[in-house]
Amino acid sequence: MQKTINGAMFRKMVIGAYNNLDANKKYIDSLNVYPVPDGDTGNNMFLTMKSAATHVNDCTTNNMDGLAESFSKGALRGARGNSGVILSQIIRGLSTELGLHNDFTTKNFADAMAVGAKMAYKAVAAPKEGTILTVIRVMAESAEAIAKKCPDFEEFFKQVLQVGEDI
Amino acid sequence: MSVTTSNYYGKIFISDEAIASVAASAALECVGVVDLVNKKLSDNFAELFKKQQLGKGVKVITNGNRIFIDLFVILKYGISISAVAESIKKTIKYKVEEFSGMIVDAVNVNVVGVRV
Repeated sequence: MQKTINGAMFRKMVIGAYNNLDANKKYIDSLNVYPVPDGDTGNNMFLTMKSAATHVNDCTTNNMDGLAESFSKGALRGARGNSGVILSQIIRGLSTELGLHNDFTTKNFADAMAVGAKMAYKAVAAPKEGTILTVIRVMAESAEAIAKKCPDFEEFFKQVLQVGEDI
Repeated sequence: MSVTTSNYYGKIFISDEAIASVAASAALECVGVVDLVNKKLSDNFAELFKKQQLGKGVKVITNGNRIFIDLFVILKYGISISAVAESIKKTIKYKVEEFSGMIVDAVNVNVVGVRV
């Protein structure tokens, strides 16, 4: 049972996310309809995540504060397109909260998701529902309730991702 | 000024204001754009007397059926300015061309401020 996650584990999480996005970018491209239906969303998000993952990979320490900082900085530097900018904002919110704890629990992670969602919403003057914004908001809202019941990360992520799928 | 096009039945004029309001609403939908601002002082006075200005912070110059757009924006702190500027240009070009059927030649984005 995985109750806390530390820096080394977090590094692996980021790399895993990057590989997963790489595999699915074609599918995300095909979803792209807003605001310009040019089908580059997946690629934009991939490039943003690539820069974030490279920064995390190059980070010399395994402390959470250092890792979180390079994660958000990398995403910010590499942001491309609308979806990339939203992603970088979510990551920035997530990282500011996660950087405070060296071993974070499911509850910390739920808080971090809420901060990330809030930051992403603040970046848009006229937020449109039915986009990635809705997904992160609903996931963040339910993550808090799920974290209370389940301290195990494996179960926590499974349930939160299920909520994301259900929207 | 306005852009004109003619077909078999007659002429179509699209005023600069119409294009400006489309451009303004497209810009506000972009991530990272907090507000559009007027550049000249006289524009601010005009705002005092008029209730609502749709094309605030947008300057449209037209020549024949070509459109040039200047945009004055305030962005959010903590985002990549180049990425946002790029996405604004792309979005506006697409939205205005879709709306008017005319070619947008240039979209110039001026970042006049950052809001923390």
